[in-house]
Amino acid sequence: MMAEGMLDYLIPLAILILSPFIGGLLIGIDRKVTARIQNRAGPPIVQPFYDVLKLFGKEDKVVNKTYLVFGCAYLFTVILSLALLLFKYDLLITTFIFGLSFIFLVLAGYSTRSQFGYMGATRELMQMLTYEPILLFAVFLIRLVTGSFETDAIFKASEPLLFTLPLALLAIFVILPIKARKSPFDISEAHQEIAQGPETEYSGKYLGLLYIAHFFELIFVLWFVSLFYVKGFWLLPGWAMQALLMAAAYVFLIVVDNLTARLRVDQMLKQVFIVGMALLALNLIYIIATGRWIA
Amino acid sequence: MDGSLLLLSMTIVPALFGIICYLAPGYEVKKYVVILGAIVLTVASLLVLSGGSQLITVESIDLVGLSIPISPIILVLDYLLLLTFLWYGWKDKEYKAVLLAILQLIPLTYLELFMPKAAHAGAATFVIDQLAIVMGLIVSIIGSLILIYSIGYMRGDKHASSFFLAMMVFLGDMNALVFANDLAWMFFFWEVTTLCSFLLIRHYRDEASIKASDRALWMNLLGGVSLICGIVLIEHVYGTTFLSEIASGAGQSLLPAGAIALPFAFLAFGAFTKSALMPFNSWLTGAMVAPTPVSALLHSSTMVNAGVYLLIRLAPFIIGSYVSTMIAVIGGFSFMFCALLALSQTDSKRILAYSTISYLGLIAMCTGINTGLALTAAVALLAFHAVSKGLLFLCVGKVQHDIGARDIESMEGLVARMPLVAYIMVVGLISLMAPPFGVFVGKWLAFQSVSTFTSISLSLVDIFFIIFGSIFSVFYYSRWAGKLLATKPFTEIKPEHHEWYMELPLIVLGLGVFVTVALTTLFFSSLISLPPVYGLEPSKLVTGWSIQSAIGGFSPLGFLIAFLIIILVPVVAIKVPKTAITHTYACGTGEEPELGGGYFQDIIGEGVSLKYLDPVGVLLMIALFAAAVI
Repeated sequence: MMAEGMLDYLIPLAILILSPFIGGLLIGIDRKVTARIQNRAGPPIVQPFYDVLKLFGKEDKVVNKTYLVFGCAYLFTVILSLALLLFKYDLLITTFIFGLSFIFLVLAGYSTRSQFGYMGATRELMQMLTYEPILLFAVFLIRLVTGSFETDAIFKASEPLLFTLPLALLAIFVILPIKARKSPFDISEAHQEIAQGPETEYSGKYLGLLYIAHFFELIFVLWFVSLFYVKGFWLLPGWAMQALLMAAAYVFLIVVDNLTARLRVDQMLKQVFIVGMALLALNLIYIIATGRWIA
Repeated sequence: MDGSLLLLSMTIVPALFGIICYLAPGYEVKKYVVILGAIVLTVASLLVLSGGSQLITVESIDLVGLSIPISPIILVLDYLLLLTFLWYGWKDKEYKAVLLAILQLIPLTYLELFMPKAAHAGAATFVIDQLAIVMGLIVSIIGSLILIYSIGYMRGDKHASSFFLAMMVFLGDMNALVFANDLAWMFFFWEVTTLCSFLLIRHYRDEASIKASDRALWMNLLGGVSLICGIVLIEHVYGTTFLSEIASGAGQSLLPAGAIALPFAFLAFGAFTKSALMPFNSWLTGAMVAPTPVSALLHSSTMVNAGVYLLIRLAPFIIGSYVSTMIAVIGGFSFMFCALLALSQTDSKRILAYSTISYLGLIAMCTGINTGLALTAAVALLAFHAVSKGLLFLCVGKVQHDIGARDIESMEGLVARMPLVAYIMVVGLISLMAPPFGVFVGKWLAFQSVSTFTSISLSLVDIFFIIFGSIFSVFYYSRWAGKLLATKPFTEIKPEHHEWYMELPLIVLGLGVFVTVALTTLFFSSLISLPPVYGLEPSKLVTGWSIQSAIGGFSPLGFLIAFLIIILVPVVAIKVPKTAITHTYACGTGEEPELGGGYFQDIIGEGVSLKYLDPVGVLLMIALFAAAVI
């Protein structure tokens, strides 16, 4: 009993500590796969770590102190929200704290007073305007079928969320590329047109910190997706199902990234809202019709 | 201290100080009178807080052995007030106001002189319960800070005397309004707020001010007509005008049984006009022509709060009725669309005005959802919003005073020019959008209460409103905060011009933002208590180190500490050597970029949106009354 209680804390802690490494590896795999699809050799899988390490040895070139503070705040908030998610804190609060990390990134972008930072921050806000409603509606639907905003309720629910909220999961898949900053929604960091968006002015170790934040972010998003199947299935235990779901989401991300070209902001708004909201609405009708919601 | 003495020092004494200030010669003397008045008001409100709930019956005033009953005095003042409105309406050729003032006279005369009334034995005329204490604190403390701020702001103004008189009468009257138990008395205090705001809006007496004040006048008089009609109906249906007796009262009802909620629909309509919810938003945005302390007073501590305060008071009587549902929809509608309108504005005061209406809409929505959780959210939002919004208005006023502009485009890089004010302003902006600050706590509770319903119906509409409204508000606040922080490298930081009368209130309110978050759990456990109608529901909200409801919980204090660590650690740890500073990347062009835009004015600007929103708002008002009679 005691050991189990300890494990409840140790496992999330271990995942939290490992997540930048896993995140970095996933990005390395992504680059390799993408390169193979484009018939290139591609960098080694551990290249993201080399990049970060190299950045930490570089000389700093900064514009002002404000955006550096917000950049670090962005990193800390992402780590905080991932920790909240892993330790099964209230899901609604976790989502809002994750949103706060983007507010920090936007403020960082604005406070450089650079043309690229400004454009990037505005676009980042538009992205937030696009994905946040979908995410919050999804959280609301999760609350409807589990009866609570507590993450624990998902684990205690009688059937996995995938059976009750399949379309909501699809809607989250639609916004995945936004959160992972991948094509077709890599709008805020469109490096061919606006350099690196809100991150343009970062260099040296501060850019390295942002990279690490992105690693954490990727794990957060994937873990969120994995909440949709946390029960054992046939011979597989619950954690294996979670890992499978995360893998599926990641493969989806890579495939979509390579298949599509970047969209404009207004196209993103329209397409994601129409598709995402329709999916969520259909799912809502489904759970109401089948009486699977808990008041 | 004696209860009635405290009551006196929160209601009449500020007005007396106002009169002394009006008569006092010279600005220096006035200054000290104002400071003294602010101190008395603050101390009295804190004493009321420590005194806890109490009932006070003041039927008459004893003057040197002579006992004068108050009701007739109030009636006479009521008539004088309406005559004043008539006169102003006639003078400004604003005939709508004249008509509405006459329309108020008729039900008022009927109510006071011709209506048979049941005897009220033992009903207290003033009830200081916990809601009233919270309101009193908002009015008195934030109001006092605004008064002190105005000393700096109004220096050298021609009409400063009448300005301070109106401000202080306003504060005292607002306190009286929240303490009053008799709706007939409350109507008088309600109309005094209309008069005070009318006089304050036309402070500069130029064409724009007079036009704006006339509009505010007729819209508020319209609400007054609705309010007095509602009071007459309440007297009819329940046989009493005392708020504390409505729940148990039953008179001879002239209305059909189904229309039992009709009086409350009238009262709610009055509340909507006072809180400037759509479609009455234009008077509050028009009122931006007034001096900034006036805007701060109207938006944070008085006037608009009166409307939602009344809605909170009424909520227990209309649980489960269609009127309640309509209030939730109207509130949600205002919340989302005013946030959208704020997004299209560049004028900082207009952004704040729209965001005020938006948050008042959220509060109204919570009262309409009408569960224990939702009502808690409403009171919490009201208190936290007052602190943050008061702070932001005062900051904008200070900026306008110093740099002569209030456009957010011209506030770019303000941290370099006015660091103190700019940083406090950023705190204020973040406190309105980000966790873990007070407004967020309110939003979180609202989100929870929208998700707590027993039948899926209009709640889905409300959750739509709340999600989009929140995200729009994040959009415009972070854009504004970003503007303030955007500094160019190599800019010299000039010494700031300090005016301590204006800056002290800013610092106090800026700290207040943090203090209110830290005290959130205390506030929830000891200051918000709900009427027994809500049954056991309030007890579902468990407060300790964290706020825990049946479906979720979080710890404001814990997150406040986390937030401070997240910001302060980088502030301390990051050192920027002078040699590392460089120009921004300009893609090799080396040109200074022109930054700006992103307001989407041709898609969602006032001209485009209000064309559709105003008719919808009017339809919603009609639906409110329709909901009452079906």
